Amino acid sequence: MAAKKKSSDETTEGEAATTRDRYQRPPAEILHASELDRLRQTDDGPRPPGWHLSLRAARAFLLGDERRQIERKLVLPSALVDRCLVTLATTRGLMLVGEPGTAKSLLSELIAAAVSGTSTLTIQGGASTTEDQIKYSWNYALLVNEGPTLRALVPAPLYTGMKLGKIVRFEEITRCPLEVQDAMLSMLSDRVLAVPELEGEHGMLYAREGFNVIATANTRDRGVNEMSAALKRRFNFETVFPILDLRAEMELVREQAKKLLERSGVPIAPPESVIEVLVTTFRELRTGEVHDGNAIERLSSVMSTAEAVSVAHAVGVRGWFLRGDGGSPADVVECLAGTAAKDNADDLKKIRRYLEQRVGQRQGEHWKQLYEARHLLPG
Amino acid sequence: MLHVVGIRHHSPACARLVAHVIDRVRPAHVLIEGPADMNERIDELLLGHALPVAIFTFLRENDEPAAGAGSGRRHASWTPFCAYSPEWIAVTEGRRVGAAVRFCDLPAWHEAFEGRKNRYADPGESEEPSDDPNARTVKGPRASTRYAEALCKRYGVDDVDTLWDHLFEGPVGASSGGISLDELASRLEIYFEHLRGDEPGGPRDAPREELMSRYAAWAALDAPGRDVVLVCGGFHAPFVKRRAAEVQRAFEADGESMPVPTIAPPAQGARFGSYLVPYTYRRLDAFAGYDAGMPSPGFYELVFERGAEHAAERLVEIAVERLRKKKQLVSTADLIAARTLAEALSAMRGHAALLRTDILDALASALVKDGLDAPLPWSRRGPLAPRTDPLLVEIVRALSGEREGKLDARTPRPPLVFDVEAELEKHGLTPTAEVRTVKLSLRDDAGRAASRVLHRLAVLAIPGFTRASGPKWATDAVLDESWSIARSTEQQPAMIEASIWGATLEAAALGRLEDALVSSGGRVGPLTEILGAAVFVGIGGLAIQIIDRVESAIANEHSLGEVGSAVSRLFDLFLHGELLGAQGAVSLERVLAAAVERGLWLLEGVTGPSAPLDEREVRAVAALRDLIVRGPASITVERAHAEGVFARRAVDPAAPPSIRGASLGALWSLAQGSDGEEREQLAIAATKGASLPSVIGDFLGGLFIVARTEALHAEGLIAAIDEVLVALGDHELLVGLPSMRLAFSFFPPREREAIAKKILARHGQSQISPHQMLKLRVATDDVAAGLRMDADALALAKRFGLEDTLDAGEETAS
Repeated sequence: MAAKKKSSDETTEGEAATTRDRYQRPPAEILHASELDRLRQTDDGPRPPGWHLSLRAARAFLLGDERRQIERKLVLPSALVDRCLVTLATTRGLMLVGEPGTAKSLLSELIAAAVSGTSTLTIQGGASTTEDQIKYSWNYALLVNEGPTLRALVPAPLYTGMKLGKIVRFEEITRCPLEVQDAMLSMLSDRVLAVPELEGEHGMLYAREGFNVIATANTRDRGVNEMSAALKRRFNFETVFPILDLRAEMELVREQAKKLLERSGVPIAPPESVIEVLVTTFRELRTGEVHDGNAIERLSSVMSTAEAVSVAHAVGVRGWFLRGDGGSPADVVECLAGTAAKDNADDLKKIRRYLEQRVGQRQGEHWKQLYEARHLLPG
Repeated sequence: MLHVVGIRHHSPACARLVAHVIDRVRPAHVLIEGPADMNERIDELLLGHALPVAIFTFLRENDEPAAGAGSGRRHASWTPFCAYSPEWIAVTEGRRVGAAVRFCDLPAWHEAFEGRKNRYADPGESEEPSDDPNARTVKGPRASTRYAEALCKRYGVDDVDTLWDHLFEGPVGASSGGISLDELASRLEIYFEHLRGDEPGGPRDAPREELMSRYAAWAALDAPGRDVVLVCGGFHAPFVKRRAAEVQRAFEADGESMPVPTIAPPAQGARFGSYLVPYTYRRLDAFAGYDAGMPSPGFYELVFERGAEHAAERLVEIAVERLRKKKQLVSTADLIAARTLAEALSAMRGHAALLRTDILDALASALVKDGLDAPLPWSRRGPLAPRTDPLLVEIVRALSGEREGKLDARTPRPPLVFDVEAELEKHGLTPTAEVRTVKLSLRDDAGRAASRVLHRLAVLAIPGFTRASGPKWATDAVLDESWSIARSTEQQPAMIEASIWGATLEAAALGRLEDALVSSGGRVGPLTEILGAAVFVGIGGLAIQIIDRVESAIANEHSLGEVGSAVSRLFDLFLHGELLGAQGAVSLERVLAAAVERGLWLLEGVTGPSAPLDEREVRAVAALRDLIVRGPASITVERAHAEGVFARRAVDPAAPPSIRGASLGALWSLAQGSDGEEREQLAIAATKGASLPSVIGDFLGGLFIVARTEALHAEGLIAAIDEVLVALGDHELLVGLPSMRLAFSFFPPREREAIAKKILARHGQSQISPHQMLKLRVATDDVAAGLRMDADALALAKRFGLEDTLDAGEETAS
């Protein structure tokens, strides 16, 4: 019996692996299907109604658990993850705010996968988002033919989430027009969605247990569409900060860059000194605090860990395909302009000033190399 | 038998454990990690004070570099006790069961405490202050840090404070669902045993641990067959236990009797002592400073008094009351949400009761309705970060508690009171019932000494001493002061309170100013203010310390104006170097060099082609220039670098016009020999280049502030300005008028007259008195309004084809 069970486990794992490989970017519930399965089977904690996992198992899924061989997927304070999960188990929505590139979307995806087993009920907010895309719209052929029936109704993520009791993700909510944001009010407070076109029992959709909303908003977009106090009241806010600890950030950049480089066919990872130069530079330009004391200006472009990873990736690719090594501090300079400063001339100036006046005084061969490569900065 | 109870300072759980152990074993001796020099005066502690109180210890070694190591060392340190301190419980419970109670640690004046303000600060945080975050990655963390980090990971918590709460500060006793005290004891023992590992004591801990071990061995030998309880920091406990047994065995083997351990006094000629002072919860709170004890003393007092299971309830009440008093909106719905969240967090984290972070996390989640600019205060150690959400600041304050200690009336008075009385008498300043006015001249030594005493009292906010008049800044031209002095009933209590800052008037003023330093937030402006006060107060050492702070503040200052005004004040001080003494001059020179570097860096970054004239920024350019010209040699060598910056800024189209003008002025006034002419030509060309009406005024303003003399004597420049102005149309002139007027207002009237004369000569109107030109019988605004009206009329006339007539009229008029 036990043996049989094991073999069936293996087949599902095998199937999962093939499905996984077919997609460019599989969603969390497919990517980590076996971990989720394992957690579900060993989970003995109390589950909030409608949840696939207990709070503790969900936390283990996000932050890792060596004893259960669960990989850590995010570098975040565990207290933050606790607060997020607990919020979702209550009657308020969860609002993740923070600088771009602080893994808000990843966090919301992983939470949705852990809690509901699906992370694809996602609304991407934008200037052109309409109520239809949030709640429901109609199949016009059927609508004309049959009139407003349940068959003719095309559910949008919120409708599906409420009906099935799942977590709905609302990305970049502050980029939506105010009236669209306000359309969420009754769903969040009364947990009911009115479909006035339908008569009878289908005219009111009451949310099943397990339904809740994770919204994300970008602090750089603050003020684009300021949220109303009424909507704010229905969310608990969690601010996601860039990684505070240098060691943790270096480790993350190293690991992620290694993965990306493997995919790009680069067999070696950038040397430790390059990662150190890169992450330190990013942190200093991001916070404006320099470890040897003198403050500098923060860049206006996003200097997130995600950007650091993509620079590390680019550095590795350059090093390997152009010279056959793992990348050098000089590559960092070349990639900084494109990835970090983008088209912002002011930022370019700030980087130049930083390289000229701060990096030049540092000890260490790698810092010297960075300094000497400063002329590679375009413009 | 020896019982070593390893504790964490200021932990209510440990306090309970200490009481439990003492009550159970009824020891002959209770030894406590605390200043052994207080052993003869331990009764003072039990006089009936309102806690928190602290033993304040100070040390001042002789300044003269006479024989003896470490001369000139100054040190002040506190050993604080609150109602739930394990050490305090050990003192009171030990006495209750009739044990001999002693402190067994080195006095706080010992070198092992150098630079440490609070004996009971958490080890690790203050042991190895590392300014360089990268150093840690290179060296790798200590074994204790590694162990703590592994535990944090295992229990899914973010820091040691939370870990501690999670493991040890839960409810105690089966009735509340918590663990028993014996279970707590064994948990603590395992925890500390692993935390310490095999790590040796290090230069700071080793002598302390050796003394504690010797005390323990002595006590065990002194009362054979009876128990001895030693209460010390958990980090020391495993070592002390092992070492004490070794020492005891050694003496037993030799068959000798062991003398009471003694401590060598500080170097000869040093002044040192320990006194009880009132303390406050605010100072105990880790959010108030790096060297404080545990966070949130107000909360832990509740935990100790009511148990962890009831403290949370009260805490939420206190926090909400405080928030509502501060007019923050906290709705009932929010409270319900916070309560639900806290319960859920606590259950998820496996706590038997709501712990501190459960409540804090829940309050933050439920009450904060926006993105945060700084991480939650309890997610990291140390003072509150700047830009912390005000709501969170209030919550943290609520947990900190407002309790302030008070000493029993019988407590020996601190020496400050006697010192102040002696100082006042020495200078004939003793206050009388009637108000009297004292005039002092700062030119003579006696006057200066008296003034220092009064300034120190003023710094300490001792009532009855008010300065009626005197110089604002130590280098002002005025050198007389007048004070009014009167006796008041509040003086004595205020002096005792002020003893919190130090034992002598000088030390107390020093302490007070040091505290002001901490709360200055590291901004250059307040720091230079404090520096001024320090110079009046006449504490050279402090002034030097502030100068060092100014240095780091300048390094982090983002406003060119701030750096500029600091530079000119510091330079003033530098020129009056005798106020600070030789050492001060050296450090001041270093700061000035740093300021020049920072100033030039900031100058390079000022942008805004249409930004109006910011006088502080322009004055900063002037101040930088002054330093380059007249400053110490270490700065004048930067001349080439500075000229480079000025030259770049003078022609940078992205710079504000005033900065361009100012940089040009700086460059011009820095010219040597034949450069002068070349730079005048440059100035003329630049002026012509800045002929836009919206730009010219600000440009000239910048130029005139920095290079007034040079501009006044440059005929070519005045001609160029005249040309530019003549070329402006009526409307353009009106646009440029206000800033032009401002620019010329930087010249004193005599110089303005000289310029007017030159202009008149250029236009062949020398017969008109330049004085006449500068006098307006009507207000300038009226003139401007008149001109504008003329222009409007002209435009209107043009529309109706009437321009010829008006033009003709204008011609005849002129």
